[in-house]
Amino acid sequence: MMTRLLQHLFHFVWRLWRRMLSLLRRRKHEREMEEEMRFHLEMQIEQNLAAGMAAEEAHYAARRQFGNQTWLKEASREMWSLNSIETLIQDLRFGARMLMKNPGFTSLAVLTLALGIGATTTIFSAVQNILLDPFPYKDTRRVVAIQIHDTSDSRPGGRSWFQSPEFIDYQEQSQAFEDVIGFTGDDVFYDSGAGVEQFNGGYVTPNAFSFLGVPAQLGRGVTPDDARPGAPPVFVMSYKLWAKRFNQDPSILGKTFTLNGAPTALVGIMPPRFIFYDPDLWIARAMERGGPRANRDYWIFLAKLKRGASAEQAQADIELIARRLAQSYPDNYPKNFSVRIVSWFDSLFGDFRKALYTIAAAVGLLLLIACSNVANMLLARATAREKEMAIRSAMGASRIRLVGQLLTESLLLALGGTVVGCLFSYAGIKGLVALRYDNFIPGEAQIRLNLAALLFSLGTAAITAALFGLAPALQTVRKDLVEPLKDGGKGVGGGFGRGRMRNALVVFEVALSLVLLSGAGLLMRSFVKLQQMDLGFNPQNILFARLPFPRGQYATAAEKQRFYEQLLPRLRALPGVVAATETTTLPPYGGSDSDIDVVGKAHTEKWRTMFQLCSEGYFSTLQLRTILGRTLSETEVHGARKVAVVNQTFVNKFLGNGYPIGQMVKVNMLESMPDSPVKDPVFEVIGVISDAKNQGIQEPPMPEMFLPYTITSAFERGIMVRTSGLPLSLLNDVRREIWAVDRGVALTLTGSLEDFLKRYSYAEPRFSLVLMSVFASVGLALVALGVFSVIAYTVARQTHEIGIRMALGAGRTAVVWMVLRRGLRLVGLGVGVGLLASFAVMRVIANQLWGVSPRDPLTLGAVVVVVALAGFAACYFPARRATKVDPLVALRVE
Amino acid sequence: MTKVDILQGTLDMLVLKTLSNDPMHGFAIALRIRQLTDEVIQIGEGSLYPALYRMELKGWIKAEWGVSENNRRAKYYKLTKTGRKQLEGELASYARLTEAIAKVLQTA
Repeated sequence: MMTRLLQHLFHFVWRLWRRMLSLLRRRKHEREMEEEMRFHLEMQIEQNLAAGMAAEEAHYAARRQFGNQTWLKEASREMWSLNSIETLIQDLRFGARMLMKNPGFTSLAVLTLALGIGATTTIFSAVQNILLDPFPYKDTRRVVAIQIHDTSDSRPGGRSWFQSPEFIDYQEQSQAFEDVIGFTGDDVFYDSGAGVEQFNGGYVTPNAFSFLGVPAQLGRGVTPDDARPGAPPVFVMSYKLWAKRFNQDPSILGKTFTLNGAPTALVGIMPPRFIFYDPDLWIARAMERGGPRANRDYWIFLAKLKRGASAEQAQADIELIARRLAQSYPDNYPKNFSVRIVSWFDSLFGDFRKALYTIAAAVGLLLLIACSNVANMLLARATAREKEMAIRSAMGASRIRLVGQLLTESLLLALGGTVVGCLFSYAGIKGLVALRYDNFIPGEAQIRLNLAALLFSLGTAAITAALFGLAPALQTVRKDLVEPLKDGGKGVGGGFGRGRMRNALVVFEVALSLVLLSGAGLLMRSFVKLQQMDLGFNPQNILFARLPFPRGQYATAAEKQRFYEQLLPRLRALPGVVAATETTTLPPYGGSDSDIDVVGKAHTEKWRTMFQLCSEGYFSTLQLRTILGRTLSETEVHGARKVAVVNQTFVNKFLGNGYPIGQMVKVNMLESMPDSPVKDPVFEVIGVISDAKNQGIQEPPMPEMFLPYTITSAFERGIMVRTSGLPLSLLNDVRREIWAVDRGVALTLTGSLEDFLKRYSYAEPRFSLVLMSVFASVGLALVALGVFSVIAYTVARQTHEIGIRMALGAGRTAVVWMVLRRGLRLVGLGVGVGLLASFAVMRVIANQLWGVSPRDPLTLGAVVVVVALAGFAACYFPARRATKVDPLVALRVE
Repeated sequence: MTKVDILQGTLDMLVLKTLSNDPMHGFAIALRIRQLTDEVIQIGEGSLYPALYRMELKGWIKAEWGVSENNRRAKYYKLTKTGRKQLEGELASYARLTEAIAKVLQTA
């Protein structure tokens, strides 16, 4: 066995060696071959002479008998070099020469391929990076969160955070989890000696960092020992804070920082992709059933499924526990609820995943268009090369050799397309990053060029190029060689079968581009509607700031009231300030949720409303319209009176029959708050205001109440200031006034409301819109190019026919019409097919549309017009050129 | 006089057999086969030379330049050791094949 193998190997090496030798000695071989043939011929002639032929006849007969010398040489040469590198090099050289000879065709084909490859690689890389592998953490796929969903709420999602005792119950009673971690955020105040700064603190259960499994960039992560009683206080810093605030200074590691008044040592700095809920720093905190914090922290619950355990098993397990816990913590559970185990991954991405898949589909269409275009160009070229192929075939080139040659040419094109495409996708990824997607894509996901994505698009392009590049070789199989030679390659007929194929490709392309444009058009219209939509409040010229109080101070409602009663008049007195108010949230988001009861009204369902804690300036700051009654007065706010202003939706839902003013509403949640509960929270309705968006800009408003902020000390507080000029120009004045009241109060999250809306409400639809528009316009350009090249090519082929027609008296219009008819028929067919396809397909983007039907006739109509116009232009120019044909020249071509 | 198409393997065998005694040039090989088969098998140059080059590459025959009977430079082909082995193998299998065919033809 072994010897056989060795023998084979030896044999193989031997043959390879001989081939190499023959390769090196090619010239000698050629010379020798010619000499041998000459010798053979002469021998034959001599023999013929000896047989008694005349000299001339002897020569002729010998030659005739010998046959095609070129073929013989080719066959012999092939024998020496078949499968060898030589053929490849020769083909490459020839292919490059052929491509160079036709720079227009080549650059167009390369550019088209590059566009397709570049765009596809960019988007598929993003899909891979964002959706398939966004997290640097260990075993991300097995990490799940619990969601308690209120079934009376039409919105998806639900509560996924728990107070410590409840959290611990879930952790202890569940069987399906390998490990459980918790996260809760809280302000951390850093005293640098020069002043107090506010950081976003992330408190984690001590096992969190080993659960996530990402090593620190410098130092170490949080360990269980850090939370032991008596352990020295330590914290771990995020890369973001390290870079932004400390200039990436490595020497701060190990130093002690005064955090919340206590010296705390910095033990580690995490790498950039370790985000984990995006705080500035992480501190270990042991979760306790009792103690002062027990009901104050709200922990996000994350669990790792046991290996082999399914989400369904965990779901059943948790469902049982949740039903039991709903008895122990009745306040935390809605009347009817369902429990869901959601992958952590899904809970963070939500709808954006669908948007990204739509974009990926769109870019796939673009790649298809690009490939069809290149296919079309190659087919057109194939017809033009019929003559060349016939000659080469007649000269004795074998089919394999021709196919090899054409393949090499196609692959050269694909290679060129890839190189340029890589440049495109490099630029594309830069552009994508510049779209500021960081508000809706977690920072853990880094968009980078993905090799698999590149290979995929490269493969598609290469296969197309190869497949359609082979078309010229087909004729050597199917067709009579004589025909193209005789025809002169300029006739009216010729390549009919391929003509049909090209027409089909054009129709296909036009249809695809129509689908793409429809998608882009719908997104655009939806976006415009979104931006033009009446928010119910005026976001222009509003400055906002969150004002966290120093730890341990301003704990009571009275203290907070004292602060704001000093601050608000100061702000109003600033030149350029029109109005100012205290607030707990920023529009288009309303206040906290609560169950309510209306005195004297029975209801079986739970009634839910939002409630905002504000000062009397809230309504004028946001420019809300009063519909009935009046808004809060300064005295009512100052006296913490139990009065309420409600919005229109509130009236419609709960106060339907009867006069709203004077009705009494009980806000149950205020009673049961752990911090600063409100005794007997029954409020008298004193006014009704117009609806304003309070669940984000896309959702209809929810019932909302506006209560004096002085009734409780709970909830975060901040300010909104309406200015007459640019809001940010007043930031320094506002800060000065705040610090004039108390230097210990930090300003965080400052900005203008308009910018806030842009970032958080319009950024995601804009992301889809920009990408879709780019793809749709590139697609349209490619399609126009495709139609143009086909029609121009047809005109070139028909020069002869047009010449005859014109010589016979056909007018310009007739000629233009003849050419146009053919092109417009294809475009029309494509538009029809595309429209049908759009009808079928646009449903998938319905969830990304707002206020526009996926079959919006206006958009689809406009898209049809655009495509038809582009198609018309693409046909018109070659048609006009056709009329410039000089009949004499056309006929002389023969 | 009808020409007979022959398979490549058969052509190789015939050429090898022709070369088994003395080295010969291409023209002589073609002539010899034609004469020996009473012109039934006429090997065209178009098949002969590629076959010769192929067998040379495989190492069955070796080419050397020599002087022809009419005093001209000609390429002479000589059977190598491997070529002789190859010929023996092919002859043996050809014999088996004809024997088998003959049996069928006799009984049928």
